[in-house]
Amino acid sequence: MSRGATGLTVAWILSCLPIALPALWEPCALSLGDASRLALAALPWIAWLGLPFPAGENRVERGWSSALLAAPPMAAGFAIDRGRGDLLPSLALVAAASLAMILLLAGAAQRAARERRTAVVHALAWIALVPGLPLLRSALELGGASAYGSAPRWLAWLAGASPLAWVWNRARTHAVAEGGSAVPWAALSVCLALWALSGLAPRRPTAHLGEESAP
Amino acid sequence: MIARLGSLAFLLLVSENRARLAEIEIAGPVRDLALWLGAAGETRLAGELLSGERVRLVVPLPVREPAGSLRPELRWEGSDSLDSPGESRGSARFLGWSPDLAAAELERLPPGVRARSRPPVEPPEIRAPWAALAVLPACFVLGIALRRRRVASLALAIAGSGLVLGLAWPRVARAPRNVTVLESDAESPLGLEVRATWEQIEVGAADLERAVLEVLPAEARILWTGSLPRDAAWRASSSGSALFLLRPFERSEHACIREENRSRPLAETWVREDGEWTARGPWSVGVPLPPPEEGPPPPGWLVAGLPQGVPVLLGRARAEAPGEVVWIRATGF
Repeated sequence: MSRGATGLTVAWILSCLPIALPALWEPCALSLGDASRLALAALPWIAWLGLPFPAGENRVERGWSSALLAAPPMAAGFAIDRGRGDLLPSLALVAAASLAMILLLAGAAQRAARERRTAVVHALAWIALVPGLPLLRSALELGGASAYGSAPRWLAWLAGASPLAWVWNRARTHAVAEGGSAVPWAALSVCLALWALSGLAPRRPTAHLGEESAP
Repeated sequence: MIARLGSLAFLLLVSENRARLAEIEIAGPVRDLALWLGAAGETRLAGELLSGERVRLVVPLPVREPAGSLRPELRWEGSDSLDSPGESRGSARFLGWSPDLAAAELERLPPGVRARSRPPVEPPEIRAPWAALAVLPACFVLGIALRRRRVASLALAIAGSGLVLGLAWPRVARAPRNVTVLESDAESPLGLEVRATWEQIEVGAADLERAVLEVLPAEARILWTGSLPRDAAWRASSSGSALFLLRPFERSEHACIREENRSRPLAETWVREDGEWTARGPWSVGVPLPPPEEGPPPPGWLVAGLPQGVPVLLGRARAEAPGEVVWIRATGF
C-alpha cells in the first residue's frame, strides 16, 4: 500500500470512529457526549486531503475521486445527528459546506502540485490559513491568556475562518444554536482562495504528469 | 440511572437562578448585541437598532455567582467594547441588576416542595445500526478500487451515502422532550411548576420575571438568545445539560380532591395511603377518585424523597402535544 493510500485509510478510520465506537463500546458514547458526529466525520478529511504534497506528483489518492470517500461516513454522521434531534437545515448546511471544503481543498492540493512555484505558494498558504492561525490563536490563548489577555479580535476572526477551526467548532456546538445555521462564508472563502492560488501558474505538461503507479 | 441519581442529588448541585434579570440601555446603531459573562455564558440579542433609536430592555443573564457588583461585558459583531461609545457606532450600557423576584417567590414555597426530585431528562441514545456500519467499509474498499474513474466514484459516493442514510435514518422522529411536574402541598397556597428539557428551553418574555432557571450540571455554560424587538420569546441553550424552569402558581388552579378532579384529565393515577401505593387508572375531570385497580407502579423518580406519613397523589396527564408529558405530584392529598 502506498503512502497516499495509507493516509486515506487512516483518514477513513478516523472519520468512522465517532460513528462506530459508540455502537461497539458503550462508554465511548458518554465520552463523545453531544458532539456532532457529522462534523467529526468530516474533520479528518478536511485535515488530510488538503495537505500539500511535492510538485510533480499527481497523487490520485488525494484527488476529487478520493474526496468522495468522505461521503458515506458523513452520511452516517448526518443520520445520527438527525436522530439526536438536530434540525435538517442546519445539518444539511454543515454537510454541504464540509463536502465543498473537502473537494476544494483536495482539488487545490492536487492542482498546485503540477508546478513547483505554485506548490510552494499553496503549501505556505495552506500552512498559514488552515492549521497555522488556529494553532497560533490556541497558543496565545492557552499559553498567554493569563498574562496578556485574549488573542486580538482580528486574529480570532482569521483563525475562525480556517476550515479546520470551523468544522471543529461545529463538532462542539452542533446541538446549541451558536451560529450553527450561518453559512461559513469565511471558511469557504479560504478554501476558494487556496483553490485560486493553486491555479496561478500556467499548466506545463511534463513527462511525469501521468497517472501515478497503483498503490 | 445516572440521570435519576443526578436528579436526586439535584439540590446539592443546583441552587442558582441562571435567568437573573438585568436592565440595559441601547442607543443605535447597534447590531447583534452580546452580553458576555465569561465561563458562565452570555446573552445574545439578534437584530438591529438604527441610528437615533434608543431602548431600555430587561434581559436574562446566566450569571453563576451572586450578581452583586458583577457587570457583563457588552459586545457586538466587529466591536471591541461598547463601554466607550463612539459617535457613529451607537452605545450600550449596563444599568444594573433587577431584583430577583422569582427567587423570592420560590422562598414562599414549603422547603419540601422545593426540594423534590426533578424529572429525569437525558440525551437520546442514538447509535448507528450494524447494517450501516457494515456498508461503510464496503463503500471504502469499492471507492479505493474505483478512484481512477470519476463518474464511477461519484455514483458510488451517491449510492453509498444514500444506502447509509436509509439504514441509519431514525425510524421514529424524536420529538423534543418536555417534562412538566406540577408540585403541590395541601398546606401551601402556592404550587410549583417544574418544566424540564434537554439542552434548550423557551420562555416568554412576560414569564421571565416569575421564572427561575436551573441547570444540571450547575457549572454548565448557558446561552440566552432573544431579539431586539420587545416581548419576543427567549431561548436558553446549554450543551449537554438538563434545564429546569421553575414557576410558582396558585394551587387552586390545579387542585385535585378525592371528591373531584379539578385539574386536568389524568391518563394514570396513583395514591399513597398508609404507606401503600395503589393504582387508580384514568381519572377524568369532574368525577371522584376511582377505586383501586390493577396497574403498574408509579415511576421511581416520582416517588423518590417524598415525605412519609402523608397521603400522596401522583398522576400523568393525557398528552396534549407530542413529546410533552405533564405529571401531578400532590402531598397531603
